[in-house]
Amino acid sequence: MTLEEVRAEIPPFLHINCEVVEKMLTTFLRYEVRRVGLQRGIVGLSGGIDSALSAFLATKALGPENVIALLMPYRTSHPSSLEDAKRVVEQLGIHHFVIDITPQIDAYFDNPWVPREEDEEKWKLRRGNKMARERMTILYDFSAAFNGLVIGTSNKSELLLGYGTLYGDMASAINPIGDLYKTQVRQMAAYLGVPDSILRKPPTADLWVGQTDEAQLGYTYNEIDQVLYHLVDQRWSVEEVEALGYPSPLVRDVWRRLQTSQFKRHLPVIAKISARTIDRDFRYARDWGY
Amino acid sequence: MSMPVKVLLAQIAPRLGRWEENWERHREILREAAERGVDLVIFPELSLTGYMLKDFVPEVAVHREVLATWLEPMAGELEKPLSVVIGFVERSTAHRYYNAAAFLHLSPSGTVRLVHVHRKVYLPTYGMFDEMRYWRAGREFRAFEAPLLGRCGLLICEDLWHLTSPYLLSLDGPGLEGARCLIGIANSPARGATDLQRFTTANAEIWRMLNRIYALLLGCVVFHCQRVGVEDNFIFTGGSEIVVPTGETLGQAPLFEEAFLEAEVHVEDWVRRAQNQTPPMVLENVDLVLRELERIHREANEG
Repeated sequence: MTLEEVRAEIPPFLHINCEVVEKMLTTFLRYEVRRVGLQRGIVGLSGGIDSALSAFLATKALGPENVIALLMPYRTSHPSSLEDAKRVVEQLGIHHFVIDITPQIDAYFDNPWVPREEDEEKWKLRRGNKMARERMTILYDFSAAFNGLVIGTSNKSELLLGYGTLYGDMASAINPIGDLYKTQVRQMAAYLGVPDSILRKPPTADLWVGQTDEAQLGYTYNEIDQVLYHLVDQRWSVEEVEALGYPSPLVRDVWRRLQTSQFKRHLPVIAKISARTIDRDFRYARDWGY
Repeated sequence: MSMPVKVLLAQIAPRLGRWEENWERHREILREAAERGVDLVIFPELSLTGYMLKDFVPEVAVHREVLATWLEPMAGELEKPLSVVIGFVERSTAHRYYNAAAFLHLSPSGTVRLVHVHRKVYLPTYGMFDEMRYWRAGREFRAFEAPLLGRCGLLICEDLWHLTSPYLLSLDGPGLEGARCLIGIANSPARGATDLQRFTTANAEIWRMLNRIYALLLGCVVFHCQRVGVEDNFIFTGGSEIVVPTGETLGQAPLFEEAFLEAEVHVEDWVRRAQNQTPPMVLENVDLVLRELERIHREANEG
């Protein structure tokens, strides 16, 4: 898909200047990786568009020799996910490792002491979260082994909805795409030449067979992003966004998700006792010491 | 033709809180500039310390007099005078902290004169900014006489987003003939990459407009020095430039990259030409402005 085709699906207020954003994000990645004395980035490649974009940006910023992709399928992952991830690896010419997480996931859930679940939906979710966190631990181990920073792959839409696994796929050292809505990720992906098969397939966390984000969320990202843009970027009220003609259930559902997922966007809250408490009155930039 | 002033805008990426490193960088840049015969080097806001200091402010604060002392050894090595604008954290005698800018003049005799210090007046505390938590606000806008340039005004970032700051500086002089050179230094985090037409960000676009408007309306030469680099999630914009009273630019630095913008500026000629065409500020009625401001102020307080 061309950038124009992607843009044609999206209202102009969600259009971004891809040239400028590329420059900003590659600058960001270069500074933040090198600041801590490192050269490399580690990206978990799922075969989806978000991680593909992060890998493309990391490659532009750090050079292909400095990007390591980890492909971490589970036995129920869709085969096309691995194929698409490999396409990204080949196109970019970056290092990669394929690590099947099936043995460690199954070993855990085969334990007799793991609490069983009656509720099928909750069971799927628990298993999916476990997979996301397993992948996180591997990324961080490779981060230490190869002296590289874990590059984030969560976009603004899912971060705002809380549609991600805390300490799982939401974990990273630096995230270049967390201020881009899904529809904007698509523009950047088309602009940078992410493989067509990735641009065309429906977004999925691929945590169980047949899962798609939009079926699970109940709305398309195009709809969600338009509502988020007005609620978050423009700071319009729920009533004002409804008055624009967006369906009330959509607007209210998005607003409720925004509010109730705030905990996922924070470090754990520390009870204040002393005169100077971390994250309250002990205030430094993260880059303070580097 | 008037004597040109050779100016260098140093669009650098200071290291956050790495005070010695930044100071060393300043000295290197000054030495190289002096070798090329530059008269004035302008560094961006908080060039000695970086921007996102937060609780680190007291650790990097210095008394203003110290700057001259530091520069003295270098002055002695110079072949001709050199002026410099530095952004620093000022510690007052009462140990209060200001986001400040100093204009210093180095003489080959080895003396350094602190020509002027401006303390940032408008401290943005909204959206992504939190400055009033860490700084005290300056209380003055004063023009000053600078070697070669003549009457100058020095402003820091948000100061320039208030019409009245450059306005006051442009009037602050004998016979209401104030600053003819406006030096603006800033740390502007890039935001708003939505426009499809221009290779720029929303904030960079506004800076360009402001620089042109001040140059045109006040008939002054605008020296605008931005920083680049990244601190946490701030990606600083760059795009430093020099704009003359016709609204033309004498050079513009790229966005997001370190750059050194050097230009020979015939300040006197540009100011004269502006006055001979559509003379800016010549009709300005300061008595009327004052009367109306007093009335507005009075009525606001009565309300």
